[in-house]
Amino acid sequence: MTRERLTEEIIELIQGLLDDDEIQVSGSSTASILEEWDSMLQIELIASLEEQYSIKISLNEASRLSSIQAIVDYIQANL
Amino acid sequence: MLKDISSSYRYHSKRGKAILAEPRGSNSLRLAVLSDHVVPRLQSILASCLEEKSLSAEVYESDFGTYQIEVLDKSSALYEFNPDIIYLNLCSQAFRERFYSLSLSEKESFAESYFEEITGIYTPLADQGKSIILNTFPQIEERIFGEDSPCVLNSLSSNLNRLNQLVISKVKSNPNLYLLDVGFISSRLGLLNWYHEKSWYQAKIPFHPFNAVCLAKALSDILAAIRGKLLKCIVLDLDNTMWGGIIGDDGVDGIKVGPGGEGEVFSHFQNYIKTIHEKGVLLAVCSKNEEENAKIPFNSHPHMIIKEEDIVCFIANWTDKASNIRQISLSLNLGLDSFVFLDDNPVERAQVKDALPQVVVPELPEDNSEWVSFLDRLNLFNSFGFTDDDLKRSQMYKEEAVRVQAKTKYQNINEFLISLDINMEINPFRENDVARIAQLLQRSNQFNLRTQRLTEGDCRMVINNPGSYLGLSVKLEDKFGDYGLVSVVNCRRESQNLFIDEFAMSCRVLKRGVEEAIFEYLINYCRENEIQFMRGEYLKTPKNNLVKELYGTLGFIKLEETESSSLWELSVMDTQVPTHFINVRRPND
Repeated sequence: MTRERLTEEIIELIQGLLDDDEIQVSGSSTASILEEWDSMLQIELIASLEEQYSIKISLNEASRLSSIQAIVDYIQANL
Repeated sequence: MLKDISSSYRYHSKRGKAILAEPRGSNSLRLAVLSDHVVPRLQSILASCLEEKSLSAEVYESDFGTYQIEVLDKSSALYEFNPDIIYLNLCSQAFRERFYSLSLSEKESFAESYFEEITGIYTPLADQGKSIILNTFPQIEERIFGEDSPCVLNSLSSNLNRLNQLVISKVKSNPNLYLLDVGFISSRLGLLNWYHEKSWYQAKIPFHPFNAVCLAKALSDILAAIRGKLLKCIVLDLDNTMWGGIIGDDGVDGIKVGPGGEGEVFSHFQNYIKTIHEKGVLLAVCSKNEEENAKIPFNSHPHMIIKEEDIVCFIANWTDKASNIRQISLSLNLGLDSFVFLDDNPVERAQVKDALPQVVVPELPEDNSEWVSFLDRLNLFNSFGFTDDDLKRSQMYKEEAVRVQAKTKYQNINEFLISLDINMEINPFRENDVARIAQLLQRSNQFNLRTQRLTEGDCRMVINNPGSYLGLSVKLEDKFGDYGLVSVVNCRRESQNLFIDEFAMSCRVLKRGVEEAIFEYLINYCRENEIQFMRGEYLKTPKNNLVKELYGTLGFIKLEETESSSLWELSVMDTQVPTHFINVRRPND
C-alpha cells in the first residue's frame, strides 16, 4: 500500500472515532496540535488500528504513536 | 476483538453524543455510576442504548477511586445529584491489585472481606430506598495452581468465584439489589476477547475499550426492566419457525420437530420459548395457514413441546400479519410495544416492522441453529425473579377470552356484570403482596393515573407509615376464575385531604366496576376518618389516555388542567357512592 493511501486510511479512521465531522484531520495532525486527540481517543485509536490491520501494538509503542506520520511509519513497518 | 462490537461501539458513542446534546425528558432516570475503573464513553453509549427503548437518564459518574469517599461524605456531589439508581461498578483488576498486596493467610478470606466492604458502600444507599446494581467479576488468566486453582482458597481464581457467589446470593435476597452479570458477558465473548491489558495499564479501562458497549447495553436492559419496560407477549409464526417444513404441504408426519437432525433445532427453540412462557410471557400464534391445518401438530404431533393450551391467542388465516398482530394486541389489551414477533421469513418481518414500528422484530439469522443464542443475546426478557401471578397470567388471559364471548349473550351490561358474580378483596399493603404490588405498578401503563412506579422498598415505607399513607391492594375473582392482585391505590394523608398518589389497575379487569367499588371503599374510609376532600391527579404519559377523564366519571370536580396533567377534587360528604355490582370484602369483615 502506498504511503498516501495509508495516510488517507488513518485519517479516515480517526475521523470515524471523532464525534464531529467538522473537525479537520490531515496528514500533519498530531496529538499535541489536534485538541480532540485526547488520551481516550488515543486508546480508541490503538484498539482500532489493532483491529483494522490485524496487528498487536505494544504498550511501549502505543504511547509513541501520537501523530499521523508516526502511525503511518509504524503500520508500514509492521504490515 | 469482535468486529460487530467495535462497529456498535462507534455507532452508539457517536449517536449518544448527539442525544446528550439535547435536553433530557422530565421522566429521566437518575443514575449514579460509582466505578473503581474507567468505562470509555459510558454516558454516550448508554444514552443511545436507552433512547432505543424510549428512555433517557441523567447520569452522574464518580471519578474512579473516589466513590468510597463520595458515599461516606453526605455533602458530596453524589448526594447532591440524588440518584434513584446506583450502579456500583467494580472490576476484577482492582480486586487483583488489592489481592496481591495481601499475605497468604489474608488471601484465604479476601473475597469475604472485600464483599463486606462492598456491602458497607451500598447499604446506606439501599436503606434510603435506592435501587442498587452490583456486578459479577470475570475470571482472570492468572491461575497459578493451574486447573486446581478454583480449589485453592488463597488463589485469585477461588476468591473471584467466592466473591461472585456472595454477590449473587445477596442480590437474590434483597429486592433493592439488581445484578449485572459481567462475568457472563465476558465469558460469552471469551476472556481473550474481553481483556486488553494495555488499556488497563494506560487508562484503567479493565476490558477491551470497545467492550464498553456490552456493559452499557446490559445496563440499559436492567434500567428498562426497573422502569417497567417489559415485553409481555411473543407472537410466533408456525411453518419453518416452530417446526421445519410446511404443515399444509408436508403433513403432520412430514414436518420436522423432535429427536434426530434438524428436528432437534426446532425442539430446542420450542423449549427455549416455553421456558420464557413459564416465567410469565404470553405466547400467541400468527400464521398464514388454514386454521384446521395449523392446529394439527399441536394436537397430534408427539414431539411438540409448546401445546395449544400455552397459546393465549391463535390466529391462522391469510390476512397480513401486521393486521393480525394489531388484533391480538386489542383482544389482550396489551400495547403493541410489549410484543415480540418471531418469524423465519424476512418478508413477513419487514411487513410487520414497517406497519407496526413499536413491535420488536428480531432479524433472526438465516441459520436457525443460531436462533436461541441470537435471541438470548438480545436480552429481551430481562425481569427480576417471578411471582405466583406470573405463572397464572396466561390462564387469566384465556379466561378473559371466554368472558368476552359470554358478554355478547346478555342484553345489557349490568345484567352481564351481575351474572359474573364478581368478588373483590381490599387489603392494606401487606408484606406478602409487596412483590406483586411493585410488579403491577411497573407493568401497568394504560390504567395508571400518575405512573409513580413504586418499588418494593417504597411499598414497605407505606406499610411502616400507616399514619401518613393508605396503601390498598385489590384482589378479584369471578365465576370464570381468579384474577389475583389487579389494582393498587396509594394515598397520602394531608390534614383534611386524602391525596391519591398512585392508582393503577390491570387492564384485564376494565369495565367491571372495579374502580367504582374501590372509590366506594375510599369514600367510606374518608367519612369514617373525617377526611373531607379526596384529591386525585392525572399525569399524562404516551399510554394512559384511557384514564384521562376517570376522576370526572367518578364524580370529582376538575380544579386545574394543563397540557400534561389535571387535578381533581371530590367533596366526600356531598358525593353519592358510585354504583357497581361487586361483592366487596374489607379487611375486617
